[in-house]
Amino acid sequence: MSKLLSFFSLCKKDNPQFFSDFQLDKEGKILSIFWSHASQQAEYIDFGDAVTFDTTHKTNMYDKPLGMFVGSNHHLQCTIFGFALLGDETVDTFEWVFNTFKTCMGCDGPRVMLTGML
Amino acid sequence: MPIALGRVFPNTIHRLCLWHVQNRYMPHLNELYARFEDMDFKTRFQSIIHHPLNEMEFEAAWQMMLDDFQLHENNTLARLYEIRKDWVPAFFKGDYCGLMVSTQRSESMNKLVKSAHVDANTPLHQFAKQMMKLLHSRKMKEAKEALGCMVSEKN
Repeated sequence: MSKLLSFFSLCKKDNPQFFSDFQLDKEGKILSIFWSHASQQAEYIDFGDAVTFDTTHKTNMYDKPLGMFVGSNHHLQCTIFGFALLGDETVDTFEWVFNTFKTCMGCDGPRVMLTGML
Repeated sequence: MPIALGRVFPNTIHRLCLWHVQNRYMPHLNELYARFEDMDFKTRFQSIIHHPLNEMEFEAAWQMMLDDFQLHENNTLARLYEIRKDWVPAFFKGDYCGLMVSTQRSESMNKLVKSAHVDANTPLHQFAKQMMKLLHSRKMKEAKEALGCMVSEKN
């Protein structure tokens, strides 16, 4: 974890726009992590009208599902606005990640959000 | 997730993935596809989902389908119809979705992530670094497209 933090502070030093935040549980242990590079936030300003959000598993040794905010750019290529490693998939955690996304991007939210959850 | 979405993004239109919706009812849909195979129900159903350009067109086509196949009592179709405003493309013609109808873009990014040298044994800091590399490679791809556009404009 300390290695991750030092990587994040390196990113922050490189560009102060770099954003990261952590969701802690009651004992102060890290539950979820969200981060977004400066370039990603810039792309959100340009292409953030429509966003898809979906989680995928088995990308790291901590068994945290990865959630990505994905959109499409002017070449119709996929672009990623932010990464989130989630402690679980409860309403609370999703609420945390969406709120954090909102804070990071400084906006009300996208116009359209596409998800796979019925 | 839908609950959290509604709370945090009250002004955002929440659209359901075309593929996920159908997949949820796949066993039932498959049964219908098989039952009406000679009448080509599948083609008809798929075309009604994808092609109508506005809500009225969709509603009319859907009713006609129920009439033609005598499926007014079918629960699966009733349920799909009930949530039509959340997933049928005809209802989103006025909303910019970046040509997306499903979470396919998320899925393809998921695949890219997993091919970007991360797996179930990757430590976190390594993971974050690999993600940044992935972003760089995406940027390079975009630059290539942009260059292609500039060159073809000149010619």
